[in-house]
Amino acid sequence: MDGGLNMNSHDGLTDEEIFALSSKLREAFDPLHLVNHEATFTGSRLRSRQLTIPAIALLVVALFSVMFFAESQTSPVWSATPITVNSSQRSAILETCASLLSHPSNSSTLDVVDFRKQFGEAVISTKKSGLGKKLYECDFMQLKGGEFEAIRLNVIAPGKVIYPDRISLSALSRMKKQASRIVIATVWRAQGTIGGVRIPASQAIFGRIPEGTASVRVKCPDLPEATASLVRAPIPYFIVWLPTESSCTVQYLNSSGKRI
Amino acid sequence: MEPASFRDFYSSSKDSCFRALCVTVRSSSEAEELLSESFTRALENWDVLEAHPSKEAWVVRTALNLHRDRWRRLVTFTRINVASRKHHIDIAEFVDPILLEAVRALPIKQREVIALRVILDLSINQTAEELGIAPGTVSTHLHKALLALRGALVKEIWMVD
Repeated sequence: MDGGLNMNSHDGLTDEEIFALSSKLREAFDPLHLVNHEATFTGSRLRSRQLTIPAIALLVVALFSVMFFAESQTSPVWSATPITVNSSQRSAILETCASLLSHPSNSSTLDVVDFRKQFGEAVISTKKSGLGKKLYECDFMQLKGGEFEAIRLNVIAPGKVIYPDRISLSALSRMKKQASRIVIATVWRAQGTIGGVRIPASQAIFGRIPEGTASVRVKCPDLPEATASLVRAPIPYFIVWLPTESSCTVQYLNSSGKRI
Repeated sequence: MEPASFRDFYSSSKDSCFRALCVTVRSSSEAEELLSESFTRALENWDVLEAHPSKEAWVVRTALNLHRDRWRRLVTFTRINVASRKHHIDIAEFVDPILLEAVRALPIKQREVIALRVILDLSINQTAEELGIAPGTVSTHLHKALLALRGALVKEIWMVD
């Protein structure tokens, strides 16, 4: 040991005492030997670690794959029962679709022009507008309690989507338990978020949309086909809510309706 | 296969590093586990570490860092509980139990200073550098530690002498 401990006797110990006590302390521990390490040391530990790290990585990847698969397979129970719309329900649909408008209109100014499909999608229009008549395509769903929930609203020209979806986040968040049809929602900003709000991955399957895609079509056994039009580029991602235990296919269509 | 230089280093320094850790941690099994891990890391970094001026200090420092890691410590304890059933060194068989108890009663910083300064025989400056504290603080810790141990050490001196 080097010197220079710089302690004075009035602190309790002199330098000599410190030196002597340190020596005795070292001697006291000298008999201690690492007796059983030769056989177990590090070479084997390091080698097992080198083997273990890729194995753990593989295990983690497999685990996540299983979890993702399990999540996608345990999505909500869907009902393919068509919605029968009566007049009061029509009003409810209008009201809920109107709630998605940028500048909410009184539902009395809207009218259902056409139920394009038997259920789930309505084309509505404004009755009066200083800017001219507008058509809206409104996706909605019927909740288990019988109420309606608007999913998305497009402004459309006859037969053509002009700009893409406005999505009801509250509706999306409830769909996992209550939706009764396939829903495709475009995601604008990043995978897994809509309008900056993160959508739990467990509620959806995310997919990247190939370049040139004009619409996405999802087909599931025993369920009506669902198609979402994607007009404004770039919209690189979409979300699909799928029924339980369904083996669904996703198709990407170009502007001519042909598969990409 | 470990390089020959590493094997030499391991053979020559394992005991002193072990003693240093036995001063610092509270069980020989934990000291062994920490030492194994830090030597493993030394082997992993041997290309760089081989030129290190104080390799023993590096090993002990790494072990002490691991010791501070709460999560690591919990894992270590889990391993120890299994490992210690197979082989366990009872430090009290080698070191006077009263002295050992007195050492283990010291604050951790003081034990670390004793481990590096006394057991590994590092200089004050080296100890300070390894522990990330001022040299004056090393002296203070050592002084306080020895003052606290004096009774037990006097007994040790009496027994040896």
